[in-house]
Amino acid sequence: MADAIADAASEHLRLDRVPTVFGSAHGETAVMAELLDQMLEQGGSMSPISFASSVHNAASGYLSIATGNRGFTTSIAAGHDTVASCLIEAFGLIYGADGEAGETGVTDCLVVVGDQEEPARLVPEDGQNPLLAAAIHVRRSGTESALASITLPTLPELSTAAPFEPRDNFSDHTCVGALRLIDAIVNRRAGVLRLDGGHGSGWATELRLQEHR
Amino acid sequence: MGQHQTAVLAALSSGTSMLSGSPDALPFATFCGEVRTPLEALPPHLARYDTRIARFLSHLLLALEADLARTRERWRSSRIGIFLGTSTAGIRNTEMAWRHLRATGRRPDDYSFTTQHAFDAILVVAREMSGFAGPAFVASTACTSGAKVLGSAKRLIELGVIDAAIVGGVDTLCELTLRGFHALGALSAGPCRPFAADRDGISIGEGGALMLVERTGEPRARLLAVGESSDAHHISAPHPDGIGAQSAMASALHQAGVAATDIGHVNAHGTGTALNDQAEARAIRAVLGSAVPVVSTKGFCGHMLGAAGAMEAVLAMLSLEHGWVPKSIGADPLDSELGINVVQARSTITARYALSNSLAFGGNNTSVLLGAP
Repeated sequence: MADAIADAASEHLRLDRVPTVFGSAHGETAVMAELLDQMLEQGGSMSPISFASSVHNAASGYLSIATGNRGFTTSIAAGHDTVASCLIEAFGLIYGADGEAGETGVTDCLVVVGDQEEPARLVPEDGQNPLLAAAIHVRRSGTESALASITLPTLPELSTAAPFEPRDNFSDHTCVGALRLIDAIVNRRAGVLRLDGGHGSGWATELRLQEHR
Repeated sequence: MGQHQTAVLAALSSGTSMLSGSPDALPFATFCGEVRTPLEALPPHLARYDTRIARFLSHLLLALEADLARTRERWRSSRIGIFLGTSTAGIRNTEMAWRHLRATGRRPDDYSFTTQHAFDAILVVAREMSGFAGPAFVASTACTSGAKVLGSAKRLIELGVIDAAIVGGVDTLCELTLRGFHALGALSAGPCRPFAADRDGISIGEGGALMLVERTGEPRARLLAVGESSDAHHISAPHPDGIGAQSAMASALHQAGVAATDIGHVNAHGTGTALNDQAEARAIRAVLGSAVPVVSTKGFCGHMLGAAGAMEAVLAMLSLEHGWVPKSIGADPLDSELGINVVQARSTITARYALSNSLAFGGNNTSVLLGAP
């Protein structure tokens, strides 16, 4: 996740101030597996640091601590709808009437999504995700330096989402929507994008490219 | 505390703690708020999702059904969201599976990570049982989870994405959290005693609470604001001055345009650890002064972790509705150095506003501002 955040960082991103929305379908499963082993192997004594790092919002908390960010942060899970849910939360933060920043209002938000391989002992091999993390810096519309604009994710019956066509090896991944969005932005492909790999509810967003970049 | 509001109110009114010895065999003493009543199985078509946490949720949804039916009539299903807080999700089942695995080398045949462990399993249950098809997600920010979702629902209603939402939190007791908090030195050997001079830690509880948040309707309370902030200090300990808690409370007041002097009581996070109660008391003093009545309801049901924020928002709402604040159980002898007005006996309130605080691992803080309708 740290690499993804670094990649998303631009001259406009203040990590000590930007509200953050973290998303992960399964959270810190590797730490959980370690704790379960400790529980059974060492007579039940557990590493307090590992325990504190096993919460779903560990990444969100550590980023806040590392950057001194005392603002809004959250950590969301919604299976294959995790990416769409994070973007919906980001829209709420940026455009919800009150906004966390009060008078000034929230103007941007860092969305970070990631899932690691589920513990092999719990999930059959063919059902496992590879490690994948992505970060997207979302700003209020009208921002001149934006690479692209997206619409609020909508449900299939409300959108005209194009049929999903797999283009990579991540189509089963819970975070594939973020990868697809970044791929479309980088490779300059506008259009309606499904935010899951075909296993979620079908939330979709329309991507429009900003011409000046 | 009870399966329905009548029982919960009776417990609050009489000041009866529901905490008792831990149900799990542990190598240390602790007290828990365990749900002891039998829980009904999920409907047959949801049998794959039938876990203890899903049963808590199912129980709450069925209890809310009359209100959900009215909501179904009022709004399109695609415009009704589901936002749930949990910290444990279905890890209780994974613990059992892990034991089986280590003993036999095989996953139990009836274990499924996807339908039992995963955070979104409870979303499937809520969607299926309610028929609501709007945005649905879990917020899992440890002990603020159940309050974070109130903020999400409020913003998305204001944004116009949804008109209503089921919002709340559910969590179950499990060995991993009991042992984890013990490892942190945060668990009391007896019933937790928030704000007491000799407090020595938390008691973990389980259960849940759900609320129906609507754009318009027949409100029992108004969700006026949710202040959200970070300490940026430590992964598992609060900032000693409660600076994140201060800014969460101040933000809630600012968003709603409510004066600090208008707050009639605070349902505090009040876990009963030396550090939390001291930091939170400093924050309350800084933002609201030392006179505002403060109660921790964790002496009744324990710290419900991912469900605590929802549970305590509901308890704050019940106080507004009924005009009294319950006794903060266990606070005698009071830690006078805290300098706050801890409610020592059931007290009448007349003010129309209340704050419900939740503070979490990661330095995550929320303060929910509720108003009488």
